[in-house]
Amino acid sequence: MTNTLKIFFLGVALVFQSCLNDNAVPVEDIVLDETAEILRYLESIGDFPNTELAPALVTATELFNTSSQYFILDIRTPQEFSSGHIDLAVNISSAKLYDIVDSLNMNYPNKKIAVVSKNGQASSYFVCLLRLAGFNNVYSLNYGMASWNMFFADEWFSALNDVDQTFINIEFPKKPFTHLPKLELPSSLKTIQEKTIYRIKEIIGKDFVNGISYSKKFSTSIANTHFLVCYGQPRLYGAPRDLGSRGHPENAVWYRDAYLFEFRSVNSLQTLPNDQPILIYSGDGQLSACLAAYLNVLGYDVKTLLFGANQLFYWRLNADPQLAEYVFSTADVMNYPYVSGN
Amino acid sequence: MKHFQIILFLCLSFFVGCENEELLNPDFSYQQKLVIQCQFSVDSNFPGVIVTKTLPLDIIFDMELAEITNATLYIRINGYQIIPLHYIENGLYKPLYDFRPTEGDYYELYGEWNEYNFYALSKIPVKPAVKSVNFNSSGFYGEADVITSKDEVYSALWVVDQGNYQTANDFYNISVPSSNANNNSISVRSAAYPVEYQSSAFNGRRYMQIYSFDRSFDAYFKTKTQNEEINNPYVQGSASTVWNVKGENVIGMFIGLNRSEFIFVN
Repeated sequence: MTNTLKIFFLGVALVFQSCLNDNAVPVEDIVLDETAEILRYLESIGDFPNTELAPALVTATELFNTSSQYFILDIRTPQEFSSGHIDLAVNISSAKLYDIVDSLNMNYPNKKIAVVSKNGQASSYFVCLLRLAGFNNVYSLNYGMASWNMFFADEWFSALNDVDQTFINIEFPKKPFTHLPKLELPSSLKTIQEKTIYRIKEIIGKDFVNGISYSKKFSTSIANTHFLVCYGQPRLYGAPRDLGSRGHPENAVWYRDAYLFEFRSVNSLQTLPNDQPILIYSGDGQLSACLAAYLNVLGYDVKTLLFGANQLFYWRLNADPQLAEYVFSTADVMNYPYVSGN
Repeated sequence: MKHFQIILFLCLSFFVGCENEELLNPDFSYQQKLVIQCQFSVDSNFPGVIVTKTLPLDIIFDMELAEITNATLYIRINGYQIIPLHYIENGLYKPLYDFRPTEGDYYELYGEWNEYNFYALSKIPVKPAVKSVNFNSSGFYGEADVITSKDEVYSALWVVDQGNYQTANDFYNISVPSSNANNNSISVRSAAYPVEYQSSAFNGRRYMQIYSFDRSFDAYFKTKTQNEEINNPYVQGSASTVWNVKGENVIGMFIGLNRSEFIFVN
């Protein structure tokens, strides 16, 4: 081939290049992951866990006085239920909660639903999931059956403990912002609502006690395997000098509840690690159970510390008036009547 | 030579195809465009993004017809933090909770509506750091030396203290650092003070305010009236306005800005 021909071909190639359609506007890859979609949906229906409404508690007294307004769904084991339950309560498996609540809402739209567990934490967890699914008439019995009658309060009272001898007041920084966890949902799901409900149902199907809660006694070694989160007001994280300055376990990171609600998307949600298990504690374990539910929906690997600060520094909760709302005591146990059998 | 002729023939047939494509399919039909508007700064909460669509010429503008109510929009900050935006009213999409942008952060806008996808990137500039200010007595304008930051351009408004402050309606030009780097110096000027403020009676009452913008503001400013720079009247503009929101049949600006206090000039 002669040089002339080579030059000719080069010229032709250049002309072809200029003929190529260049109308396409470059757009960055707009591939938003499923988690961002779910986050948007949960916000669009009220962002329940990040509001004053969470964890949607109904007290034993309120339920006792207005029981006719409620369907009472008891999610304890059949054995626990038959040993004693609230009159007219129905014993169901937590795995069936979504379908039953959905059905009740369709047939009795003006009724409220109270979910009852043994200690109030499993019910907070599931109520939060149901609220995230859009059921805004669902409530968790505060402290569960333990607040209904002393007969059921054994686990709560045996959990009260003080393990804060090694706690410190140093504030540990949040991690840098990172991506939301990756969720993989079936491609058959088309709408954001379908995806969210699928995810919620998937989590409801998992067992609370073994799956989501950290029921063992807390030990400082857990900070080596979990990203430890204290969720609450300042005094829950830092103890004043006159109360020993032993605020929290080493490596615990503080996220503020009201009024900042630091798990909101505009705040510090994405400073939570997406590649490490998270253990979260709150004052009494009910709010942390709710938040664990929320964060699990978003794909985080989260557990809640049962009984919260009550199993960490019960003496300090009692000694600090600002923490009084978290203290579980005999004053919270109402001794209302219960029935035995199925 | 015979092969050469065959190749030449094939090539010419391609050229003809290229030419005809434009000539045979002239399309003068109305093309709807999506319009995205958002200007944000550290002075106030993130204001939200307005999403509307253009309307045909024979339809009187009506926000109910123009606004888009069911778009999907997100902000992503510094490559990580996702903040969903939710429809409020009149095409406005806001975060569920107020938050104030932080200077130096990079904001990306992701959005989609029906077949439209769009994307924009903007830096929230740092507050302009002014080294010195000078009054140009021959041109009656203020000029300042400003320390540059990466991905930013600069401009200025004149300000006059009349008891309350009068400010210019628009910028004179955009000063673009020759090097897109931090800590260089650049001269920024305002438009001339209006004639009524040029007399000595206004000495001691002339100020200027320096603005910093995301770098994409430069191309928009220079083309927003489909013309060239205001100080180059002999060049006929021709190009379309350069928007920083990218997407097929999507136009608009998603732009971060910051500004100095009023700085005394003369």
